[in-house]
Amino acid sequence: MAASMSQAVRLSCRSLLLIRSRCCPCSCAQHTAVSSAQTTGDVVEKIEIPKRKKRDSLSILKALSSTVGKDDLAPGYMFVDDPYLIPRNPREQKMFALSKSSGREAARYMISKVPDCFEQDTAAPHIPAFMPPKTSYDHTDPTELALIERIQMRHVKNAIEIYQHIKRNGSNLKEETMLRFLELLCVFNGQEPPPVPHPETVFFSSQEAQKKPRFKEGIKDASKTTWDNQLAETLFEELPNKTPEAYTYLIRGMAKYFEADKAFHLYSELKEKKISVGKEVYDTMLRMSGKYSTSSEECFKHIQDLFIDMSAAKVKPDVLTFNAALKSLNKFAGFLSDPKIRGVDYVGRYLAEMKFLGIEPCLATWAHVLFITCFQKNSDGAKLYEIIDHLQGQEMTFQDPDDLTFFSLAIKKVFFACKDLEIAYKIDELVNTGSNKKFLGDQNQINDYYNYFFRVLCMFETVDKIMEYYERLVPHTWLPYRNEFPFLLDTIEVEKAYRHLPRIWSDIMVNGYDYISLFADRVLTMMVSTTHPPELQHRFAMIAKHIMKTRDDLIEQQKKMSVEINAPMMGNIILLFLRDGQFDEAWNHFERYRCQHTKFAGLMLDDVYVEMVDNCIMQQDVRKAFVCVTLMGEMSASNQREMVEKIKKSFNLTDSEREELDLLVSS
Amino acid sequence: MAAYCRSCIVNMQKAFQPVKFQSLLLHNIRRNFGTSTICRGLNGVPNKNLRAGKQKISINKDKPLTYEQTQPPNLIGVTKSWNSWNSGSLEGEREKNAAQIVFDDIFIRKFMYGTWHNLFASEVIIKRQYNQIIIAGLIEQSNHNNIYFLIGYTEELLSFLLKCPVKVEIQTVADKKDLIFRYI
Repeated sequence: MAASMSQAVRLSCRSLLLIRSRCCPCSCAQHTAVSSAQTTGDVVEKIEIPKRKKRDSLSILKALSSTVGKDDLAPGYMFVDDPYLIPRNPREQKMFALSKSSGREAARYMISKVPDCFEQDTAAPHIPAFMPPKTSYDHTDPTELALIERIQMRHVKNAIEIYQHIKRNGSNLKEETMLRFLELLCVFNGQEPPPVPHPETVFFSSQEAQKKPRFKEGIKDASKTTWDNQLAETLFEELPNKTPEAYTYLIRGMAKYFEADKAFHLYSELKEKKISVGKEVYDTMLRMSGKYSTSSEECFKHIQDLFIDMSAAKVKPDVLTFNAALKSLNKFAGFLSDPKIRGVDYVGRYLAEMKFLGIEPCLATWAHVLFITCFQKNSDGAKLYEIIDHLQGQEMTFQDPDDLTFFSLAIKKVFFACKDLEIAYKIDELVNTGSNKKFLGDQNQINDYYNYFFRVLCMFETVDKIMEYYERLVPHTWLPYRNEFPFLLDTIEVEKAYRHLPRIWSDIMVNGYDYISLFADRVLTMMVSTTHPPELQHRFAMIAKHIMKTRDDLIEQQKKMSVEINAPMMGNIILLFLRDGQFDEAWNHFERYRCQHTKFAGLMLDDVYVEMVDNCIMQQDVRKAFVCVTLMGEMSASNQREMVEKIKKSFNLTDSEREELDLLVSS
Repeated sequence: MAAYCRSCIVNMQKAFQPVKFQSLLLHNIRRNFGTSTICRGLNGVPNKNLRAGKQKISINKDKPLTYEQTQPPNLIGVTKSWNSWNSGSLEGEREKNAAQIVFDDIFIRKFMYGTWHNLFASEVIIKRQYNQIIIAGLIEQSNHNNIYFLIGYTEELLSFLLKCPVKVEIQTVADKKDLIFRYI
């Protein structure tokens, strides 16, 4: 799919280039303006205009896209920009994206079932990505050509079959073919390659992958993660001339499937024979040395040996080489981050070496450094300040797959170690520099980043500033989970910024019933804690009504889930209706409580009765006031006597009514 | 999956057979052209005598029409717009691609009405930009996951059939009745 898209972009780019070539006058004009300025002699700075600017096929599209930024208020590109189809909570986000992906999967299935319907080739130039997968072979006899064909199509099982046929027939293969076959076996571990997942699936399914680090290497099936490749090893033994390439393939294959011991054995063999190999082998060995060693000392020694070998072989290291070395050390991070061990010095040595060689570290390097130096929870995160100051204002380029882990790791360190708002803002500024946002990674990492960023904000920032960020991020960039809402509600409670509650509640609500039952009590208590302006009071009453309606709907539909409402919550709901001036609605709920108070656990607050009686007096409704005090007696509320006195004062009661009241109090 | 799809595959094989497919087209070809130059009164025929593309009034005057249907073809480009947007009618393009574009559009419309069964509330709008085909329209709201599944399915399948990137850009309406503009 990715290939087809890039092809498509390339095609449209061509037409853009055509347009561009017609607009050359503007560049000429620019040129003359500069040269005229130079002739006047006022210009001190000399501007050198290159005669020809090197452009690749995407540079014009990149230039165009640099003029526009991402709209925070629009949904992600994988979703339809329609109110009904925009996902409202994390669950929906995942469901929709995976539905689309499974639609593509179904189409691919149909295409593979009836490939001849899709064979016509109308595209010029030919687009291989839009052709159905080839299933039949041109060569069916067990010959070398047939083997090459299967290797090119990456059909591992069939290639092995053909190879065994050829062996049985006793015919010889060319060395080049054998190498290619060895490469195929090593890359896929002698198994059929797993299907390439769709981008949506990759974006959302890394949660499982993160739990098991071995999945990070791009292997999806757990059963295929161990090196089980006897055939590759025999083939290697049979090679008449063991070239550096053959060693490279086998070592990298073993490393990919975590066979450290064999890989190191092979490497020492290679060293004995003084065969010079490329940088990739050293990278692989460096990455494996963590797995191969049992202590950090041993790991250091391995890494040092490998670097010495590299310099002896005159192989130039690059940023990936150092990343591999640091990644091996990650295994011993708990040990290295101990202040007594001074693991920071070791890491510093590598960084100094990089500086000496003129290699600029990438985000992955910094992620490893951060992981090693700030591993312990009580570390002060001093290194983080240095790193962020160094990176400030830079736009990164993608170099290592581990680049994606940096930002979520950094913000976690801020939350756990630094606890500093300033550095969190600096990190956020860095994320928003240029196109650095793409380094946030997949959905899981994006959520991690924003969750912790938000927690840091909630710790230190004023509520208005927090809400400014909240409005910008929610719902399209980030959707808060259940663990983030309590932080937000705490902040609102401390600052008494209850005006933000309706917005927060609407976001809680869209997450479903479990979120409502989780936060209803907390939000209701917050809403009744003080009195508010009439407009806000009205919105709070609406929220109360919604909570009740959700509960009733669930009971009516006989769903398994339910929103539990106890007596204090019921009291709060009644209070909210009273304060909004909805006396009838409040009375209905009060009656409901009176009739079925056994169904609501606990007791209502006394304030509810007081305000209810006050409202009855305002409404001049003697009967309702009587019902109120009767219930107070039944529920043994403390201030029943005062209320009775109040009623006696406020109404013109008949003698029998007064007697009735006295009877209530005396009993 | 396999058991479910076997009948679908047979249907697909029937539908995509080139020869059969064309004969099927000839049968229904009139229905698929929204407009043609004849509808627009180029031959000096007075507008009142043109019947093509105009809705007939029902006896009880209770036939619901969308805005699109109420506008006669001579008002295309005045009060309503085209259903197909492409450069097929331009000088130089006409000889090369026009027929192929019309043929593809008919196929896409048939595919959309069949695959998105009973979901489309408006005409299917087909726009071509560079080598990209954008299929737009209004659909009725149904299960979210189904809609996203269909988007993925349609984009992938049509891309493989037409050999160019196909995108589905839809908007939803709560009810098809929301689109009723007039009863005649």
